[in-house]
Amino acid sequence: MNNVEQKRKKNRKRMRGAGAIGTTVFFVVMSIATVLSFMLSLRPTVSNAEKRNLMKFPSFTISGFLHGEYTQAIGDWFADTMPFRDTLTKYSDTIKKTLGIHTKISNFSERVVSDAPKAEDGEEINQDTVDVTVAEVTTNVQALLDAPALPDSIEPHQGEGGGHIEQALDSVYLYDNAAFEYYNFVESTADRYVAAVNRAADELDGTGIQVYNMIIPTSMDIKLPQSVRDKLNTSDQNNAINYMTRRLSQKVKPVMIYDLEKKHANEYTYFRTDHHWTTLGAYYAYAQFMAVKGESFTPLSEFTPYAFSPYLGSFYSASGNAESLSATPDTVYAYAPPVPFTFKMKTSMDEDFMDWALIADANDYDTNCKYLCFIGGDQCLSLLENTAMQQGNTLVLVKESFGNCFVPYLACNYKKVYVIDYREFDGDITEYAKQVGANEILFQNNISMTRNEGLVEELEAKV
Amino acid sequence: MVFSSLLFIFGFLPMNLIALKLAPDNRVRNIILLVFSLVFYAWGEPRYVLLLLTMSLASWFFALQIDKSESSHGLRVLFMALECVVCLGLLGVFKYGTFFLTQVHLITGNTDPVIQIALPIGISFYTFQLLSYVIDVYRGEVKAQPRFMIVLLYASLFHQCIAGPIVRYADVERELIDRTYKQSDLNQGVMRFAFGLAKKVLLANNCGMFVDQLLVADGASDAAAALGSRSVLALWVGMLFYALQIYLDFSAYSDMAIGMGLMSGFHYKENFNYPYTAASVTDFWRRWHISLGSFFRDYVYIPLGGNRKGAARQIFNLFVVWALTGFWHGASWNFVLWGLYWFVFLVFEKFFLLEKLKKLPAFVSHIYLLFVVYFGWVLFKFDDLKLVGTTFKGMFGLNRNPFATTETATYISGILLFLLLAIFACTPIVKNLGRFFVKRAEFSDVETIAVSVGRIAIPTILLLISAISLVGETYNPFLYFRF
Repeated sequence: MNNVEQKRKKNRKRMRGAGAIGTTVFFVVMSIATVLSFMLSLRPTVSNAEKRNLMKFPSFTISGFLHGEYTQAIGDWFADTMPFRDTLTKYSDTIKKTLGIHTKISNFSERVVSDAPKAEDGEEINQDTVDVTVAEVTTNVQALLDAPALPDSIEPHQGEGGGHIEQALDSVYLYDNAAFEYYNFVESTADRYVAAVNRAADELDGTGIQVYNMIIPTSMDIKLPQSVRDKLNTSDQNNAINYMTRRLSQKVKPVMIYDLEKKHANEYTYFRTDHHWTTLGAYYAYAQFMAVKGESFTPLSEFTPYAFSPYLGSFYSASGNAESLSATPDTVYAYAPPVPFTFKMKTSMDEDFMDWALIADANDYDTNCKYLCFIGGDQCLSLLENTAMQQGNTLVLVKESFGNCFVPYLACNYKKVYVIDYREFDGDITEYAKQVGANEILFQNNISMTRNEGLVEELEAKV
Repeated sequence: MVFSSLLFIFGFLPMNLIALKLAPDNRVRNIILLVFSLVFYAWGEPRYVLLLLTMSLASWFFALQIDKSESSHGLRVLFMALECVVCLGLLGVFKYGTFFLTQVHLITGNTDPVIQIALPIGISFYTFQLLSYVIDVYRGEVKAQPRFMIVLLYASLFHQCIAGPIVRYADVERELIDRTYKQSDLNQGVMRFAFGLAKKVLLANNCGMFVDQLLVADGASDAAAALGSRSVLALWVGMLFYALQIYLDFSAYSDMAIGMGLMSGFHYKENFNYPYTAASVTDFWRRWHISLGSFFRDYVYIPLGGNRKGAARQIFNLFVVWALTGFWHGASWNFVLWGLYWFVFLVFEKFFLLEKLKKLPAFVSHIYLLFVVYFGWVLFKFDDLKLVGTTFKGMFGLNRNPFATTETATYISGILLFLLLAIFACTPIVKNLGRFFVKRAEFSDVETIAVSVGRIAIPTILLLISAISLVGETYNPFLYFRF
């Protein structure tokens, strides 16, 4: 056998040996992963990244077993509660990017969207926009970050039914370092939303409780450059808000904030990585609300500011953790009222109120949870009380998560503010408003909610 | 349970392999394999294990009776017929019962709701395996297996029971009883399984996700409206992703089955041979789902006379085979049409087109084949023929939608690189490069080290990145529930 043949034989043997080592490594790694998978103590119960409770091990039933539902649920539980899942999920996004997946639209949709019918002559609703300016709050972030921790620092409320902000987002469009959610006007759902608010006004007719309605536009129509916005397949929000407002009964006073938000579009009024507005966006809405009521609003400079950073919200996860978003994370600004107050909340209707932080110190919250600093997240019922005010009005605020950062401003103008998250609240909202001796009730929803049949149904069922 | 699930790769499979490793002999290994296979099958819907047991029992019994009735042709025919009645009868009831009843209702104008019979997973695969076994016994090509357990193991073996390949008894007869475990098979099996898993999880699942986004998700309530609103480009690219998904997904399952077979001492035949590189429809069907094509060739086409009884009869035989092939894929008219679509092209090719294609440059016939396959998948994709029509119309701009919207352009530009990767994965380039480097490495110590590092690291890396991708992934479809 010549040298070349000997070398070939030797190298073939070495490569075969490597194959055997590769097989051993494969089985060892697989076995270790198997052992870790079966260590129940390592299995998480909550996903902070997805803001949801993970699946529980299924309960056994004969019928479920025979139809395969039980075994299917075991498989789903096994996958859903995999040890280290939140960390691994981040790597899974990296893998996607490595595979060449960099889509700038999540939940791609090309559905035909229509705009709301425009107002006929004489139908237009014109509401003066309040004149309000605030000092730019983003200029001294570091000072805010270095501010002493809030006295009532508290962990975000997690667990079943509470705390976590859950919202199934529609298609999300990435532009530069921000994301925007599509909106499609759905006439039937919009009509049902209006009918629910009108019904509440009818129920409260004669009680002296004034009903207000505020529909919050989302960043898509406020922040995105018009030239880009015009090319997208998304309904005109101003048109839709006007459509719904025209159909409100005379008993409901609208609070129109679109023009005001548009006027301040160049300010930090909406998050770039999350579907919510910021406290500044909410502040303009507060000012407009007071203007509609004919009351003065407290200047923002009188509130105590806090800042929690970095924040990467729902758009970040919806975008598959887009690097363009994480490169410039958001900051959650919070403003504590300049008046003495107490704040309590319930996580379920059959519990008693418990003291909670109106604004919690979110410095130690996960990056994606910082918006939970406001009012303990989405709870069924909360109560903010101005303890310095001897006599004052009572407001019932009926809201979804956009309302959370709006609540603190109200401490300056009301003796009591009952905050109802209608998605969690169990009961009759109008009856409740009567019971607590409310003077006013404000329905406050972002526009995406008014095209969401499930959410509108929730509201319908409770008014 | 599906191969590409975390419970399978970090639960079922390692436990199975450890149990096999600890077993003292093949008899015990067979018991272990059978128990695992029945658990695997029962995981989907435990009650249908009875169906698998019944069909296996019938096939075991009839095969033995055929073997024993050597002197009586009549009895052999009778038992063969009974096997067909039992197996095809049960397949007819469970797979096609709802479809046939629906047609009867449509014809008679009956508006009562039709009984919905849930399709037992894998029924088409194991029915065909059992039928092939008994037919082979009838033909005297294999001896009847006296032990029921072996027949049941053959039908239920979890490697191929629910998604193929359709393994012939003759091909595994010896290995079912006496198989040897070779390190080289184990190494090859691990590599094959890891590549199959990665192909399914990293490529096929993502292709499927883009199909759902660009076309419409299966079972979507507003499918017609959604498809009707799609731009031309979205439909073309969506269908391209579907063509990629179906190949990558199906061949990945076969890769994993062949890989697990090798790990357990079985050598299953190849089921796919890079079908999208074919040069004609005839060539495509020699490369696509080979085990199904050879089943219909050996058990339907040739017994009907094949091409031995004149052109007219051959056309008729092809018609029967391709109508059945289509119908095998699902109880719905679109599958029958899909089968007949192939029939038309195969007849054209057999009688004149193939000759003409051979005279043209290779890329012309290849492009012809890709277009035929591509449009065929539109028929295959939608059970509802209205959706097939909407898609075809939309692809040619007849739904009055733009060529591309901002959304389509933005979305597709973000996945173009992945599209190229998926196309690349449908070619034998990786396999050929691997062989090329291994061949070269024999002459070079440095390259030997490089290949060795690859052999050590690749299976584990593929396993880990597939598993990481599966964590938190809700999209992991099993496409063969209709088969």
